[in-house]
Amino acid sequence: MQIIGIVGTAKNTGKTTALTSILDSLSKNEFSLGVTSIGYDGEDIDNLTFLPKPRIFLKEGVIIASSSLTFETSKIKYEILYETDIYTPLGKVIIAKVLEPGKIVLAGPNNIKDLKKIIALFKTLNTDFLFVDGAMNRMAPMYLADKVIFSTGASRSTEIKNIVEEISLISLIFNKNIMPQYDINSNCFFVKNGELLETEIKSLLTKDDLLKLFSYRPENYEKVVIKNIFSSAVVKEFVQEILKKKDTYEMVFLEPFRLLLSMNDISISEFRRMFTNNINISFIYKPSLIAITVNSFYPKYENFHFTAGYIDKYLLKKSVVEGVTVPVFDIFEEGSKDLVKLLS
Amino acid sequence: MAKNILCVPLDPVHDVGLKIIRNALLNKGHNVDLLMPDLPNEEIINFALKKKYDYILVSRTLGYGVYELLAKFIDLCDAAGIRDTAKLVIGGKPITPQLAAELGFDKGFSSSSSIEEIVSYIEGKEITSDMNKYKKIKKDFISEHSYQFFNKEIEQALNIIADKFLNWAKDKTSDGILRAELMRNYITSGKKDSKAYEEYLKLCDEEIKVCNTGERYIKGVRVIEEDELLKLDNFLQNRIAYQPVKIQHSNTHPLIFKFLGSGCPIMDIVHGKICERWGVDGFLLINPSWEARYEGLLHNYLTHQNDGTITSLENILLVKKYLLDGTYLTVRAHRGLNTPETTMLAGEAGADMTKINLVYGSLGAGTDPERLGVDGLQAIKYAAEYNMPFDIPGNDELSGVPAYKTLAGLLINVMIGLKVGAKPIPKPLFCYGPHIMINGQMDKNYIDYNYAKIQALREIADLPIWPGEPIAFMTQSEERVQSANATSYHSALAAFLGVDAITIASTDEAYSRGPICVASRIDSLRAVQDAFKFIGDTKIEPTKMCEVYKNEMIENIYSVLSSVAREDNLPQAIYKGILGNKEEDGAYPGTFGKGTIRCK
Repeated sequence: MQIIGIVGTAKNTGKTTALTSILDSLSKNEFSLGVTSIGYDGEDIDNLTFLPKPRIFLKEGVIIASSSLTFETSKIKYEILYETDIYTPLGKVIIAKVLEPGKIVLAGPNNIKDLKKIIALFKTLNTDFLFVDGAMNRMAPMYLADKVIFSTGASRSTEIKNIVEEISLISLIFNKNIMPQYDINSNCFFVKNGELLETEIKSLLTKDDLLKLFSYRPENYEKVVIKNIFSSAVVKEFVQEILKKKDTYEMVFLEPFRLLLSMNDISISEFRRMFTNNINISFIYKPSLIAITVNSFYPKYENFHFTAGYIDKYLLKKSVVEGVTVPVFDIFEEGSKDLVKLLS
Repeated sequence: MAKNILCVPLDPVHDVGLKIIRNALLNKGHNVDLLMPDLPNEEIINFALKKKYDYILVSRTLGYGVYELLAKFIDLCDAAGIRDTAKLVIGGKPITPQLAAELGFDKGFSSSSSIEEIVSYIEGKEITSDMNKYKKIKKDFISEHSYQFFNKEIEQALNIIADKFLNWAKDKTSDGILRAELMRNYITSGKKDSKAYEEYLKLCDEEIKVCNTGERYIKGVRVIEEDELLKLDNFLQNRIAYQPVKIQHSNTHPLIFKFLGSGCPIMDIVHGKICERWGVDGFLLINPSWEARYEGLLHNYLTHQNDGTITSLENILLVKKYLLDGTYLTVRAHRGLNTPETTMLAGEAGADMTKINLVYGSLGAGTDPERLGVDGLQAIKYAAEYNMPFDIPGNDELSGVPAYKTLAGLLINVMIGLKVGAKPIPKPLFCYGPHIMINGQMDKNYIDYNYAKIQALREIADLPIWPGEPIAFMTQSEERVQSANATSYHSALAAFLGVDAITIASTDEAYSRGPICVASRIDSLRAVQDAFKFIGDTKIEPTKMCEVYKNEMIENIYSVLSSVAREDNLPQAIYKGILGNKEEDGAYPGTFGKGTIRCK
């Protein structure tokens, strides 16, 4: 089973459009499809802006994981396969097969622990694909996916250069290698001459944590492994420190999304330095980034309400294509026929 | 078991909610840590990693842009491993379950969630659905009253009046009564006894007959198409009230009733569902005024282009189908040539109550007193048979009849009802009627006189009392805010007086000749809710005039009843103007159905 995550850099970047288009393209084949969401997706009007939103239309045979209340308010006919003990604000998560097609709002497991359980259950159902729709700009559980698609666009920023700066960095991050797991429990540790030097540090959250980490640091270490959070508060000092070293040098993180969590307007330039200098970065887990979708729509706020706004879609796509190393699609314009070819 | 809870105000200043919750949780013996407001995410996570927390309660006022911040926060919690052991809960004014799901929290609470709910959730005693929590059960408010008379003189007079009336009526019948029986046979036969229906039609006026045989419809009436019913069903299917409201602030506060009767049952139903969500306890279904003037009723699912929803069996069943089990439905039958059939249909359709007033129906609503006497008695008997209480609207005051005459009329209906085993509910008005305007009882304040009415009734007997109809009548203007306020103040008085129920108008009802908009319905429900909260369990103190008015009223009621008791029968008393005359009171005995009663 392939787990495909659709991650947004912000709300309204076109994740659901991408998902529904992909589901539609794939439904013509014989694939068995599974779908869930880590948020709440497919509503007819946006919870915040009250603008209309695309709804998720499911065909017969699709297997979904969603909360009990979403089944109550949908007209699809379904057969329950599993009733889990996972709860979201909308009730228990149920895995069901669609018997008669219809529209539904998806609200599945919204955290790492629960998504792991759902993935395990889907594996017993022998689905070919499990699509995990993202929510807003949330992404922590997405490292469990095999492949990811990032959706970005004018909702992230109406300035194309800002969109490109972020997505090109994301593309760079996902280009890094995968490093095998080390067999120790420690969250932060150093590697020198093949030996592992453990620390008791749980996360690099604050500057204090960083100082403590440096106190453990052996001379001429080759690698530092940081499995937990690498926060925006420590990036600058850490990068400065590392760039002092002359030799090439390795940093290993658990997975790329926890780095993205720490990326903000201030730390983004530090991250760029981290990824473009003589630092080898690798991840223990890393879904492959197979595609990026772009969306020129954004909710424009004027006169106390929201209306639909658009930036130049040709310039947007062109600029993103130039900044990344994976294929870029404007689903609304092109559909997903070519994107789905990248899935198998 | 004591839980470990971390309270995180992500807001720069708004941590009041969390402080209230923290106190409640500490009182229950849980361990609660409250962070300072507005800390950066990393510091919060750092703190949260120090202890094994069971719940992390996050509070933030919301707006576009804040959502992305919350999303980042929750991702950080997840990546840091906090979500492996702690449940993350978001609280904020506009939080809905859907928003909480989108933000990725385990649970969300809004400003309408109670502290008890939040504590229950944390203690693992969660109620899974709002509906269960707010499930309404109909209160039998009538059984709280004994119907015992304290004022023996009045009781004696009423006994005489009622006995004379029953005696007078016992050998009389009318086409109205015959039609009711025929229709009952037809219905109980599963609509198969076509002979009964044919006989029924013979007793109808031509216009009614022509409608019922499907030739053509009158007065802006048409049949509701099946696909319209289907669309209604689709529209309402699976719609659950979101965070339903309870209006009463204490269990001594009255039940709240509203009118339905836009003409279109579909509109009534949708308005009804919305009002239910806003806390209404029951509805009074109001039929078109022209129905009173024709012999015979229209049957089928019917919609009507003007005021008044046709109370056919099908329409009543339709309304009942969609209202909640805990919502009362009253069907109006207090005037006209079809009162027995209307009450019978209400009973067959399973309505909770009906509405009959033999006196007002004759004086203010145009039906001949003798005809309404005979028919109305049958209607009351049906009400008794179907175990439906009946309310008695004292709307004659609105023509100019003094309150004491209206109250006398109410009491007469009460006694007649009791004698045939029915459950009568008198409805004194809280209004600014013409008699009051002329004589000045409300010049100084609106409280004394309304208060006095209730006190008078209570001194006379232990009766259920349901002011209407609606309260604040004739104190309201076209301005919605003013209308809402008027309803508010009068309902505060009703709350203090502890009456059983009140009927309230929507804020455009006083002046609207067309459909009432749902926003104005909600206005008045909100107005009452706030009034109840405001008055709560405190008192309203009337002036000395209240006692004066009350005593005057009781004296005058007795005097009127004595006069009525001296007449041969009730209709005679009404013709003579004892319960309301033409000259002073502006009350005219009705003429519809004059001369249509006969011996059995």
